[in-house]
Amino acid sequence: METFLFWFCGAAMVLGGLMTVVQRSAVVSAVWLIFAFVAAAGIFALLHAPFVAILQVLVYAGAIMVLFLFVIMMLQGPVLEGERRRMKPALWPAVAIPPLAVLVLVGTRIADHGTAAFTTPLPAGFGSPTHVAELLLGRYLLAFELISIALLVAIIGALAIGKEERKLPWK
Amino acid sequence: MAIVLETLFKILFMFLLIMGMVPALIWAERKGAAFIQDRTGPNRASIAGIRLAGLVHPIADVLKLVFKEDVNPADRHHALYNLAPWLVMTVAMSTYAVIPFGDWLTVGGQRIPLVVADLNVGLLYVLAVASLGTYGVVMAGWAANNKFTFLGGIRSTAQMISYELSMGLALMGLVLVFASLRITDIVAGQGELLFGFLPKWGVVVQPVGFLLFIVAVFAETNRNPFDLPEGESEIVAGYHLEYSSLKFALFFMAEYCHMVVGAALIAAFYFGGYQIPWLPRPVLEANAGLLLTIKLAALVLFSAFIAVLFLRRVQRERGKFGDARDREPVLGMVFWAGLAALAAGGLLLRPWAVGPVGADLVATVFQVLAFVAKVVFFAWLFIWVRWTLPRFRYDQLMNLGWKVMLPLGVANLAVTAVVLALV
Amino acid sequence: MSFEGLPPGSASKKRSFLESIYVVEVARGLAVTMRHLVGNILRTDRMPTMQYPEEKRVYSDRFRGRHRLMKREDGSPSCVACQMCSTYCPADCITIVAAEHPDPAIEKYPASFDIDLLRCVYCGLCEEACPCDAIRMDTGIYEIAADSREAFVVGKEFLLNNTTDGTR
Ligand code: SF4
Ligand code: SF4
Repeated sequence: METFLFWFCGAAMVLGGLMTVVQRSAVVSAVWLIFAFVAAAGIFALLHAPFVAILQVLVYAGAIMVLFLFVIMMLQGPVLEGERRRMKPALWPAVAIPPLAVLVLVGTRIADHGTAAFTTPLPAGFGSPTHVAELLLGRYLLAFELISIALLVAIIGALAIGKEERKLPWK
Repeated sequence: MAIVLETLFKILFMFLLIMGMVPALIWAERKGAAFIQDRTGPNRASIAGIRLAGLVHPIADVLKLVFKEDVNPADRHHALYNLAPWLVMTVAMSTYAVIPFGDWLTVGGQRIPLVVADLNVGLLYVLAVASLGTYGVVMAGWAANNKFTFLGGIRSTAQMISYELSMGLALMGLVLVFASLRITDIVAGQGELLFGFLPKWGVVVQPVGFLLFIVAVFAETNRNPFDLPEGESEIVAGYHLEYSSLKFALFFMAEYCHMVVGAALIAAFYFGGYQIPWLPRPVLEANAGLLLTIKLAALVLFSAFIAVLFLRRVQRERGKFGDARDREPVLGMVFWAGLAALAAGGLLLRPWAVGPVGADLVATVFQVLAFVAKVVFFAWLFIWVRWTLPRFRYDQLMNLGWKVMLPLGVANLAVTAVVLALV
Repeated sequence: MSFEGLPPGSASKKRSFLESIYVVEVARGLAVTMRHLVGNILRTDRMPTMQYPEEKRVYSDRFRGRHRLMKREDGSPSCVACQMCSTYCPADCITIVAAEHPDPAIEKYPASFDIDLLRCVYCGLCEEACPCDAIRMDTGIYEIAADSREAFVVGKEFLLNNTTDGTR
C-alpha cells in the first residue's frame, strides 16, 4: 500500500513539476505547481510527518502560491492570446528526464529494501507538532533563527531593490 | 473492515447534514431576507397547490438549473474553467472530515468516536483546506477570460491573503489554551468548567480571538459584508459571472456549504462543539431518563402550541382562496399535531426508566443534537449579518485586515501566552 | 481610517469610541433586523406585500388604464377620424384610416383605428386632444399582456368593446 502511494504521489509530483516547466501561461504553471506541492505533502504524510505535510499545503500550496497567483494576475491580466501554446515537444525530455530519474532511483531503492523502512518502529509522537517544535526550538534553534534572519534580510533587500532609487531613506 | 464501514457511515452522516442544510439555508436566506425587509418572500412555487411557505422553491431551483443550457464563453481556458466549480465544491466539503459531531456512539460494546478523521493536526488541516478554497475562485475568475470575473478572482486572492493570517492567529490563542492541535481535544476541553460555574468555551476564554475568528470566517466564506469577489454593484457577479446551469449550481451550493463549514467551525472552536453546558457526558448518562422525559414533554407542549396556532389560522382563513392553498394551514396543523402525538406516544414508553445502553444512546443523541443546533444557529447568523450590514469598500477591507485584525491577533496571542505562563 | 474619498460633510460626525470599534454598532444593527423579522413572523397578515393575482390594488378614478373608444347611441364609434389624437400622440402609436361617413353631418369615420399598446406611454394626451370625447382611458385596466408583438396592436372592434368595470 505504502509503496503504491509513494509511486502515486511521486509520479504526481513529477508530473506537476514537469507541467509547471513546459507551460507557457504563467497562471497554468502556477496551478501545476500547486498540484506538485500537494503531491509533495502526500509524500511527507507517507513519511509519518503529518505536521510537515499539512504545513506544506498550508504554507506553500496555500499561502505562497496564492501570493504568486495574485502577483502574476496583477501583472498580466486575463488569458492572453498565444498563451495556450506549450513548450516545444522536442524540449520535453530535457526537463522530464532528471526528475523522473530521481523518482526511479528512490523508488527502486525502496523496492530493494521492501517497505521495511516504513515498518521500523518510530519513537512515540514522531512527526507530531510537539516533536517538530522540540526539534525546531531546541536542537535546531540557532539554524532556525539564522534562517529567519536571512529571510528578513531578503525581504528588506527586495524592498530596497524594488523601490525607486531616489526614495531610499539613506540617500 | 468495520472501520471502513464506520467511516463510511460517519461520512454519510456529515454529507447528509450538509446537503440537507443547503436547501434549508437557501430557504432561510430568502425568507429571512424578506421578513427582515418587511416582505413576504417566495411563496409561489407549489406542488399540487401546496406551497409550504416557499420550501418548494429550492426544488424548483434545482430543476431549473439542471435543465438550463450550459452556456460557456468561447475564449475560456477549457481545463481550468471546468475544474473550478468542482474544486470549490470539493474544498467546501472536505473540512467536515475533522469536525467532531459527538463524543462517541456505542455499537456492540465498542465506542466509535463521532468524527470522520481524528487528525493530530486537525486544526492546521482546517486552515490548509481553507487556504486551498480560494483557488477555485481564482481559477474560475481567470479561466472565464472576462474582466469582471478576473477582478473577482484577484479580489478573492487579496482577501484570502489578508484574512488567513488573522484567522490563524486567532486560532493559535485557542491552541495555547487547550494545548492541542487536535480538534477533538479542543472540543473535549471545552466541556470543563471555569471557576466552577462558567463553561470553558472558547468564547469565554478567548473573546477577542472569537471576534477575530468570526470576522475572518466571514471573509473566507466570501459572505457579506466581505463578499467583494462577487460584489454585484461593481463587478456584475464576480468570479462566477460566466458560469451557467449546473456549474453555476455548484458555486451556489458551495457558498452554502462554506457557510455550514464556517458555522461548524465556530461552534466547534468557540462554542463547545457538541458539549452541552453544565451537562458533561457522565451527568448526561446518569440523568438520561429524566432529560429525555423533559425533552419529550417540552416537545409535546411546543408542537401542541404551534398546532393550536395553525388551528386558529384554519378557522380564520377558511375558504379564503378557494383552491388547494386553503389546505396549507390544515397541513401545518396536522404535521405539528402529529409531532405532538408522536412525542406523547414516546412518553408512554416510560422514557424515565431507560437502561444503561439506552442512556448511552440518549446521551449521544443529545450531543449530536446540541452540535446541530449550534451549527444551525451560526448558519443563521451568516444570513442575519448579510441582511444587516452593507458591504465593505475595498480599502476598508484591507485596512480592517491588516491594520486592525492583524495587530489585534498578535496582541491577543501575546496576552494569552503571558497569562498562561503566569497561571 | 481616512475619509479623503468621501464627499464633504459625510464624515464630519466624530465617532465615539464605542462607535468606532464597530462591534457594538453591529450588534445594534442585528437587533434592528431581528426586531423586524420577529415582528413579521408573528403578524404575517399585516405585511404590506400584496398577494397580486389574488388581491388587486384599487387605483384612483383618474388612473389612466387601457384606452376605449366611445360609441354613439346607435353603437357606431363616436370618433370622427379627425386625427387629432394621432397627431398629438408623443409615442406616435395611433394609426387611423379615415373613410367617408354616409351622414354628411358627420363627414368621416375611422375605417380602422389601431393603437400599439407596446409603444403607448399612457400619457393621456390622446384623451385630451379629442374634440368629441371619443377616446377615453378610464377602463382601469393595467394588466396588459400578450405573447406576441402583433397581439399588442389592438383594433377598433377591440377598443369599442372595452368597458369601465375592468372586465375587458
Ligand atoms: S396615451 Fe399618450 S402615448 Fe398612448 S396613445 Fe394616447 S397620446 Fe399616444
Ligand atoms: S381625436 Fe378623437 S375624434 Fe379625432 S381621431 Fe382621435 S379619437 Fe377620433
